[in-house]
Amino acid sequence: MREFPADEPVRVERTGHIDQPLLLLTLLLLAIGLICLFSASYAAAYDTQNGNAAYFIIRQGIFAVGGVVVMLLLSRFDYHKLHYFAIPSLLLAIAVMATIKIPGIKNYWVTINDATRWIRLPGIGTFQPSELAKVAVILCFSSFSAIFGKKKMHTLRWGILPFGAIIGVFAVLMYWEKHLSGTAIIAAIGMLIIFIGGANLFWFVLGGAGVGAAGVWYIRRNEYALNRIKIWLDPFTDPRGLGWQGVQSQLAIGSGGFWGLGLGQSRQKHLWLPEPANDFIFSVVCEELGFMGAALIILVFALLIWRGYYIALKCDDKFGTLLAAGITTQIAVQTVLNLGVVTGLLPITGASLPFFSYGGTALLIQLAEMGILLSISRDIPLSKEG
Amino acid sequence: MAKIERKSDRSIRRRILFLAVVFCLLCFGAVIARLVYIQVLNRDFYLQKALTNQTRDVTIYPTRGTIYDVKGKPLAISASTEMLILNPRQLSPSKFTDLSKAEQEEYRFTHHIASDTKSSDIELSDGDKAAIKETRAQAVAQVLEETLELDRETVLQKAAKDSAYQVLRRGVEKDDADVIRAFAKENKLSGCLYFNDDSTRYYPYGSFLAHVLGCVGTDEQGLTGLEKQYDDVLTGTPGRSVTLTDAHGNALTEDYETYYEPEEGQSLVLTVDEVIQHYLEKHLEIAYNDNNVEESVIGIVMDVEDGGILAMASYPDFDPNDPFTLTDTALAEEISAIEDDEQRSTARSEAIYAQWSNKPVSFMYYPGSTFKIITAASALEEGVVTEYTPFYCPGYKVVEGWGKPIHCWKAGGHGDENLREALQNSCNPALMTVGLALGRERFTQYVTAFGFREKTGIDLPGEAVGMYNMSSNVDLAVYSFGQNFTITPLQLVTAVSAVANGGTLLQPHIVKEIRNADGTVAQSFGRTEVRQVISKETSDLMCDMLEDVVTYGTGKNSYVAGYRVAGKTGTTEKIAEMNKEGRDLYVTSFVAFAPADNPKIAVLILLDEPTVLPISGGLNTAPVVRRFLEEVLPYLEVAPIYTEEEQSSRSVLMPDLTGMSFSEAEAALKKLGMTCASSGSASAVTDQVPAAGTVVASNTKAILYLGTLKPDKQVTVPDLHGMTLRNARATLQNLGLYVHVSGGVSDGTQTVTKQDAEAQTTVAYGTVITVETADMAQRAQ
Repeated sequence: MREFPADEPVRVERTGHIDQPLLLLTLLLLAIGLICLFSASYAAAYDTQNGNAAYFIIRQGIFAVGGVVVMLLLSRFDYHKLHYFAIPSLLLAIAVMATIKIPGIKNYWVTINDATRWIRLPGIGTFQPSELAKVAVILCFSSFSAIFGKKKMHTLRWGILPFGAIIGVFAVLMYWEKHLSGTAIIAAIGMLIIFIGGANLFWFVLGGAGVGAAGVWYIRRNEYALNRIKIWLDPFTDPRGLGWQGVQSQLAIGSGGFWGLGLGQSRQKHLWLPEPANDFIFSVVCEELGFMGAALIILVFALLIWRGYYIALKCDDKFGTLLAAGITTQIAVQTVLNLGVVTGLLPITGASLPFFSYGGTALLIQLAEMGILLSISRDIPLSKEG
Repeated sequence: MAKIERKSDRSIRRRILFLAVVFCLLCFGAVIARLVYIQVLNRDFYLQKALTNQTRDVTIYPTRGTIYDVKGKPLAISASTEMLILNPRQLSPSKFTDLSKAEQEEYRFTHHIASDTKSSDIELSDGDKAAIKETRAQAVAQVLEETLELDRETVLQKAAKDSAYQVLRRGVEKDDADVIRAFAKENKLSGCLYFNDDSTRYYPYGSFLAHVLGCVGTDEQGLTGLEKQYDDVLTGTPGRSVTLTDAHGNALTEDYETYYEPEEGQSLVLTVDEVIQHYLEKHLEIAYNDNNVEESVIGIVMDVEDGGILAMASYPDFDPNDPFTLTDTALAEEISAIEDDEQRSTARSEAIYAQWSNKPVSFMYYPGSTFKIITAASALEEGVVTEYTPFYCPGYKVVEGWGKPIHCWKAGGHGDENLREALQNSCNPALMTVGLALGRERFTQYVTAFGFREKTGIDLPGEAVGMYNMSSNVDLAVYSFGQNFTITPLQLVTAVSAVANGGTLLQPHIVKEIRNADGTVAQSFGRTEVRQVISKETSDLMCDMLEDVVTYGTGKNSYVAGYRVAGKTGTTEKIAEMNKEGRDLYVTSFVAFAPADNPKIAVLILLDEPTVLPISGGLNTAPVVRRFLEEVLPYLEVAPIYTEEEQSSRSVLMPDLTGMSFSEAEAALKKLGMTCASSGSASAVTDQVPAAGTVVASNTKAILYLGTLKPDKQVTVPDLHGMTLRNARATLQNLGLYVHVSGGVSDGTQTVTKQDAEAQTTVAYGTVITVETADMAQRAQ
């Protein structure tokens, strides 16, 4: 392939230390997330784990500690070397996800609610290969964009097609998993990276129009999809059926009011809300901490994302910039998607809330990504930081 | 080989900035705006909906109040039982480990699950859950059908509801509840099939006062009688327990519970006296059987001074503990034989309503001669007649406007008589003359004033008002002796009480007090005057004249020795029913009050269709009143004043004389007015006839055995019916038996109508035979 420059042509002073605001924001979110998870999960844990109310929080706590260690280690790791991991991580992700069709290994995949999204690792638990795919896409897309350069990225051949192909492969793999929301998230993250990387906006406009038209056509001829849209717009038309999740989530949020019912006082988490520890954890947060608490948490998320993009902007290395922007974008997309779903702004899809939702691998990967971001922050030129 | 572009260019920076703004400001801004909309602007909407979802609102039923008689004896009480609740939502298991052991094994077997698979790893599909729920519902329905005879379909329907709380049955007894609890525990269903506290109504004395008390439905709601009239008072105010629950319907911790204490039902204290009621019911039942009554017998006893009902009954009755079972078994069979479902159920509910009907307030009938009291009192009050106004009765009277003469009950007539005598004779032509003299307008005015054209206002449901429609002098003539218009028994008792008490019409009432659960009096009811109808003078005169009816006239058979009873007979034909059935059907009645000089109680007894001949108020009904008064007046502590003759034959209780010396025994008997003979020569009495404790006439001659044995022989009782008392006494004396006359008095014109030991039965030597006598000449209609 190509050579990476071993030495800087001009030595520039680097900050050399990790970005402390980002670290603090991350740890703050993690701490709040864990507290909320404990409150949100104990009713469900009590019900499903034979009375062990602390089941979820203990497992999540272990992953959080491990995740923080990984984050701190990675912040010391030179992110430039991640170029080398781009293609291997892509192949690894594809390979792992392809096992869904391989006899023998296939049995390790776990099906819940008709979707096969998890692989069971005996003794450890389950993890979602799509989380791996997100990392691979971020690495590859930022690496490739940096390598192709501004001019090539502007063309269809370089700037769109290779990336489209990769997303296409993942789309097929995730179609087998019946993981539509995961596909959408990966496509969105990938798309936004090449958007930053300099892809021609014309294709975005064209693609957007195409997807929009296809969507309208699909919804028009598919009664089920149309019904989903109607339920999304007014879930109270079928509160016991398709609208159940949306209704319960909005009831939880609404009953919180301005000041909330108090930490631990949620009523909706008592089996009314689906997945109170996972996709709908924020509904519980809104119910317990009220508008005040929810708005403050959203503010912390916004600051974290802002800081992530700030690091991307300040980084003078193109790969670093794209990687930082990619990681930040992933957090942003997932957060916005989750908040949109629980508040009813978006139709119900499975999207977890970073740092809050129960899920060991996801948390571990998110913290690792924050580690990479911190590593990139160490590379910010001193002069520019001023 | 392309060279890696090291530097980020300006377009990258612009695009990153763009994303940062989109996410941080636009997207989060939209979410915040949405939160403001839901949490701040529309909180109440969501909160209300959420609370409706999350709360289980359970009504806590207060204990229903008790109904006491005037002396504080409980007649209707609520006892605690249990209420069976089903939580249909929880019938469906949420995971494998929720299943009972048997269900788990069954599931593993049917789904071919290896025995080493951990229970917690087995996932139940929605289909599995639904199937298990269905199986469980069937099992529950089965058990409830066996233990409580609950309808399977009803249980299954309730089990299929999307609900967390369904009441399956109230008033479950502990034994049945234990069986169901054991079943629920065994099948891991304790969370969804459980019991709450409940209460059930009991009437400890069965059919006693049944029509007045009424009965309650399955939810303890009053259906008839006082239970219905005072339902709100007795029920109290239900409390509520509002509990927050999870989606399975389980209560969250107690912190989330709000409890509103129920307000216990208030109790009723009736004016009804259990003892008087008991006497009344006893004698009504005897009268029903003696007279082979085809419809019913009705009785009311009222306190003439304050309008309180002391007793009220009709027979046949029903058991309010089991109000939906027809007492009339023949009728019940007739109804179950009806083929058509709808007709059968209509017939059944009609029969049940009829059975519950409180006839003393709802029965409408022609008052007949009892109404002559009202006609006479009105005319006396208006000064149209005096007690000595002369009349002549040729046995009929011709009234203008009616082609035929209207007959008196006595063929040939009563001849010359004054008003006082006309009442004793119950003479129709004389009273027609009185009524016509009063005129239609004034007659109607008094009928109205005596309360016959409106409800009495008693605190009982189902009160009727009779039909009164006077349009001619013929109507007036016939109305004057109580024919062709209807009243209710209660209206008559109320009006007669007014005649007796100095002329004031009172509003009858049956509840004396409403008491709070803690026993304090919440409300009390007493004398409520409606209006003054006649003067005190007229009232006194009427009392005197009506006493004569009993002492000398058609009411003779209600005379009670030692007591001054006033009253009037009544016999009417049920013309409409007679035309329909083509045979003679009668209502006989007797209304009385006592003591005549200072009236305390008024009594009406009425037989609807007696069939033992000869039929008349004086013969069928007056003796019933006598038997009743004979027991009630001593109970009411009315001091008896005997005439000399009565004094010699009054009823006394035979004392135990054994162990006494002859002279002591003789002295003891002498105090009672009795005499004695002796047999033997020992120093103390060893035996006696009549036996101690029997009721005897005070002119009885007892035999004392001093060491000798009483003849140990059995005597066959002769048939005494139709004999005068003198003959009966002689006949019995020859056999070594004694006679005692119920009521304590009998003149030479009276003959035996009843004897307590049946003819041809054997009794021990020296037994006292109690007989009843009546003047068979008193057949006034």
